[in-house]
Amino acid sequence: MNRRSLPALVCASACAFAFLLPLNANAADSALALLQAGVRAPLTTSYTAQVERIHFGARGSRQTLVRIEHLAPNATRRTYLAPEAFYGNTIVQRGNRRYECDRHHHRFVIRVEHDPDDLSTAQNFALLARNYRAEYGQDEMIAGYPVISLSLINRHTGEKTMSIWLERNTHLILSKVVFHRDGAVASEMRFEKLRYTNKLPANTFSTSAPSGYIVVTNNVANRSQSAGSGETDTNKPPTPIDPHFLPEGFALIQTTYPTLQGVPFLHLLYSDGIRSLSIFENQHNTPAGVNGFHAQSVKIGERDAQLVADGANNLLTWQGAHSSFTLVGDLSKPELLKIANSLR
Amino acid sequence: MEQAEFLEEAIEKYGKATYNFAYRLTGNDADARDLTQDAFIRVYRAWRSFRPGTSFISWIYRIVTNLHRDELRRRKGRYLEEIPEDNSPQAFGGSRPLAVTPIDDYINQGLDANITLALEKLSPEQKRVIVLADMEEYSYQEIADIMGCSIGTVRSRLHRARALLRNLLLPIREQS
Amino acid sequence: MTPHCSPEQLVDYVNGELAAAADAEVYLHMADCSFCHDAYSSELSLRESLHNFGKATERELPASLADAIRQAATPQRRVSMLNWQSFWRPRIALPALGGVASLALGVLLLSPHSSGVSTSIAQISAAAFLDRHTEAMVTMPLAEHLSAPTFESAATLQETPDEE
Repeated sequence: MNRRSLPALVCASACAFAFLLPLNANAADSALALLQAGVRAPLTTSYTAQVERIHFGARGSRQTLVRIEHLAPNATRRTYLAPEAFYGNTIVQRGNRRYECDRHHHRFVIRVEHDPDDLSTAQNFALLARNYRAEYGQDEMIAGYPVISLSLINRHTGEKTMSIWLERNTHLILSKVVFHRDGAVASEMRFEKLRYTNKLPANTFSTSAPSGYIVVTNNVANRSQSAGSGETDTNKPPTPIDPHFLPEGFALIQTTYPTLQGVPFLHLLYSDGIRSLSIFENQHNTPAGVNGFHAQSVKIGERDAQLVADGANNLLTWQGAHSSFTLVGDLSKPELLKIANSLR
Repeated sequence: MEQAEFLEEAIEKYGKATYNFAYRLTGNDADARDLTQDAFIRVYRAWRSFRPGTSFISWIYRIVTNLHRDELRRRKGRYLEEIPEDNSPQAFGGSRPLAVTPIDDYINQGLDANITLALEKLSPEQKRVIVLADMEEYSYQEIADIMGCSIGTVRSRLHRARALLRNLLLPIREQS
Repeated sequence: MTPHCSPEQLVDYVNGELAAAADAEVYLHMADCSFCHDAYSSELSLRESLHNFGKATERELPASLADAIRQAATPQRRVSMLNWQSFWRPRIALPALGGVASLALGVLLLSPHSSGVSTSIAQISAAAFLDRHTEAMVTMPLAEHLSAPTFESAATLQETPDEE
């Protein structure tokens, strides 16, 4: 190459560029590139819409209807229209801060969440791509817009885990259906009354609490940094315990030390890119309280445990010999029990 | 030799070649992984049927070829996507910035990309024969053994595949 | 031989698959025929390109694949390489190392049995764990970022236990 003249180089590179164009176009058309475009669409697309979500459970379903106003890249306001218990409640999200206004309890909760970095987001997408195959389905119309459908198939089990529908032009995800392992629908999300606009009133994303409301600050980001900072003996983080069984494709993606209601926990988050599992461990007598939930009594070895279903998620909690454990994830009950029994 | 030891040695010696062969047939990492894993599982289960002195690579390539053929039949009519590599974030939408890429790389990328695309135009059987004959330099007899067909079939598939590649690639090569 | 070599003959010649007599015939013919020699050069160049392409695009066997094969072949070996790889991510490794360090400090300061003495604390609602799980999912590509605020998952579940 060094012997080539400049015009030859320019000509050759032009040929190469000309060739690369269709290659990139192919990549953009691929299901995986499309999926990623869908994930990133809210960063560049502003809109208003009404979104319906339904979680199907063993004993009924839970439905919410939310009006969304989104200004790219990261300001979102959600106003609950249904069910009646939430009517009028709002959540304003600005970057990693979330402001929840609960009109029924006159409470204003400010949450500072983790700020996801690009690397972890990319790695988690890589995890998804490693564990799931995307297949194109039939094109449809949703909320008056043409959409492309994709099914995400678990590579290890061959099971369809999720179907999503992306708007053909903006790639915004307009609908999503999550399936249980037995093929039953676990949850469904669908956009209605979609309108693309970035002309939203200035006060849409106001973050001030209404007068007379109790303001609660809930700093997730700080809570996670609390390990080993001169706490009392009982606040020492517990020994990390690794499950010997995890569903195929699951990897540890995050280790944090949150404090829930003043109690320090070790929190391990595992995922295969779509499905996930949290293992909470602490050294107090604090398995999760299941009052208000329909709990099923089960055994982990010799010990009593409680199993709770919450829409797509199941929760399993028990007191071990030296620690208490709470497992949460969109996994089946047998999977959770198997993981629990493999904790050593 | 124990079964586990046999597997370990097979992975050590032939894992890379098998994975590369599978990758060239499928064109993506995830399917290549599945194919390689399935082939080694079959090898593991049938380890006693392997006769020392015969070519292991021909055996496992034949298994890969058959599994790939079966998989294509099973998926007939479905779309497949390109799957990213381990730890390569640039595969997710980020091509390298133009300003810092040496021009040689672009030309090579272009030629490689040409070959990649040209290979995609071949039928699965033609692609297999090109991979084995031209990239891995197997003899017609070895290819016939791997593909489970006659030498005449290998020859005719190779001739057709080469003619197609010649038409697709040579004009571009001459330009660059 | 006809005036020129056929493309098929040249492919077989390049691949060294012609019988000895036919091979010699092509060789001799090309010495006098520039047309066939050019065609041969072109065919050889194509084969070299394909061979070089094969070499240039050769991949190492991913360690995770080798491990997956071993696991699938011998299912009792359940150690996941993915988990270990994930451990070395900075955002996981640093807090984990911090945890290990503070744990080591705890072991130094406490007698081995004192950590087994647990302090009874009021129960934490299952809803808090469910919320925390959802919050932690923020970096997952298809997580429902918009779901499960406190008032949705916790308070109302307790008010309407018959609903899922």
